[in-house]
Amino acid sequence: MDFEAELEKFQPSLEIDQAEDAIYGNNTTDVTDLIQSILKESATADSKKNKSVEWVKES
Amino acid sequence: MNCPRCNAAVAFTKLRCDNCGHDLTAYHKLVSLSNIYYNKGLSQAKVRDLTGAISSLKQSLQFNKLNTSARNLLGLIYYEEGEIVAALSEWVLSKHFQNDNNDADLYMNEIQANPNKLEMHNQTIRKYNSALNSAKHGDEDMAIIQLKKVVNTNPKFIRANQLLALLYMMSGKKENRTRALRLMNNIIKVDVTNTTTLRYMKELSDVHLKSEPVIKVEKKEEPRKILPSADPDAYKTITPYKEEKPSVLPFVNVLVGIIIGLAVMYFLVVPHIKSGIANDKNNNFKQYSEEQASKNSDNSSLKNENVKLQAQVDDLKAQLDKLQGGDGTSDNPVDGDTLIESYNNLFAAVQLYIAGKKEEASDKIVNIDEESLTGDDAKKLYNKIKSETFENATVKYFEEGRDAYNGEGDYTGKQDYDKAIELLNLSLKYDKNNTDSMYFLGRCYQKKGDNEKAKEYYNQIINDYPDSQRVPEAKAKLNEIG
Repeated sequence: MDFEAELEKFQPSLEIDQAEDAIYGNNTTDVTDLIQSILKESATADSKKNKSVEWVKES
Repeated sequence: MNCPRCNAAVAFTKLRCDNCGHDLTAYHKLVSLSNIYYNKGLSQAKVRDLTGAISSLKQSLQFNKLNTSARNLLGLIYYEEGEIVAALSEWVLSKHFQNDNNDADLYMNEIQANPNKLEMHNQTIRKYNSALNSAKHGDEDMAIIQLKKVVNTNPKFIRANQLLALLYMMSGKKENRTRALRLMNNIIKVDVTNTTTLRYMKELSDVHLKSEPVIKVEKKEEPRKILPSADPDAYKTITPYKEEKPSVLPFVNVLVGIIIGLAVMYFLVVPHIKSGIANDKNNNFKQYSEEQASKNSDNSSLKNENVKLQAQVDDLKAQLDKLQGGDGTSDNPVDGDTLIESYNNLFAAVQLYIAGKKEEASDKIVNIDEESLTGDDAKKLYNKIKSETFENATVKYFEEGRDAYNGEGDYTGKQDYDKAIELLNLSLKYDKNNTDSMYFLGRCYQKKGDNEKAKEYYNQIINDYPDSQRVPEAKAKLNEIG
């Protein structure tokens, strides 16, 4: 066993003073958010597409 | 379940939101997946597969961040492993997503109700961080000391236990590897599938704790073959002769027996012997005292007999004294020869005195012991002849003595002090108060050089006869001698 490599794997534990940073830094994005984001982007793209169509001059 | 678009409450069975008309089919599947992972995590947590449970619960939250139960359980697992800040973070988030009717309130209130416990947890985290820093900078000893304190304070703090075990293993010492294995055995009970713990235990597979039971591989015994019965002595193995190894135990037993025997002898037998000797001595002393008393009584009776015999002897002597003419009371009775001799001398002196030979008569009288004359008439006769003859005799011997001293008369030209002394002593025999004779005796001895003898005569004259005419001469001679 490479003891030095093992030692490097250990990370400091968060102290209570750092709890706020840990809470705010927590990535709470879930799959539902991703889907919602995708759906939202998709809807935005559709609306732009429609708008661009609107902007196209009819001849 | 709430609609992810409008957040309106929607029944779980509905596939479209009643409020906004949003299609909930995908969302429904995601929630179902989240619940599936939550259930898996819960099952793993129940069998203390905490690592697996954390993984499952994280997946559950990735599908649905609003799964409060999964987040709360994740916080509990972090708390169990000593990661209190991670646990609080999850519970705070859980509270954020579901403000009401949330078990996270209960957990956080329990921790906040005991500030000392919270501070203790914070201290263990700080010490762990400090120990980790020391270990990474090469100060393993300091790190081990700090981690020991952390592990003692919070034995379930898995990361601290693992770090301490790693440092023990790094030291390479056999006893430290044993300690590391002991730590791993403790924390494997908290999280049975922790990969780090399992790797360390595999690394420590060569270490055996004393309390560990040794697993024996049991060999299947082959079925016994039954032999025909025979005399048991017929198949006894002939063992080579072996001398028994000397054992210390018999000697110890003998020694203990001797000590006990001596103690019994000292405490029981010796006092009895001593009392016997003392009794014998007392009896001997009594016997001796009785013998002594009887001897004393015999001695006193002998003394009484001796006194009686002595009285008889004295009585007989008194009778003899009376027979010899004494009064029977004289301490020095005159023997028969003296008595007869005294009377013979007296009779001879009387005859010489009657014949006119006074000088010869005086010679006889001088030989008579006056004490031996018992009769008054004999004493009167003795005194009469003595008074008429002794005066002439003492003068005669004095004059002859003085002639011998001076070398005159019959001694003309030949002074003879010894003869003078003899004659002067005769003179004193007839008259012991003759100071002339004393003076010339002193002179003779002085001439002969015997000054001490001469002083005796001079002092006798001076002290006993102070009226004598010879006193001045005696004093002059004493002064002359010095």
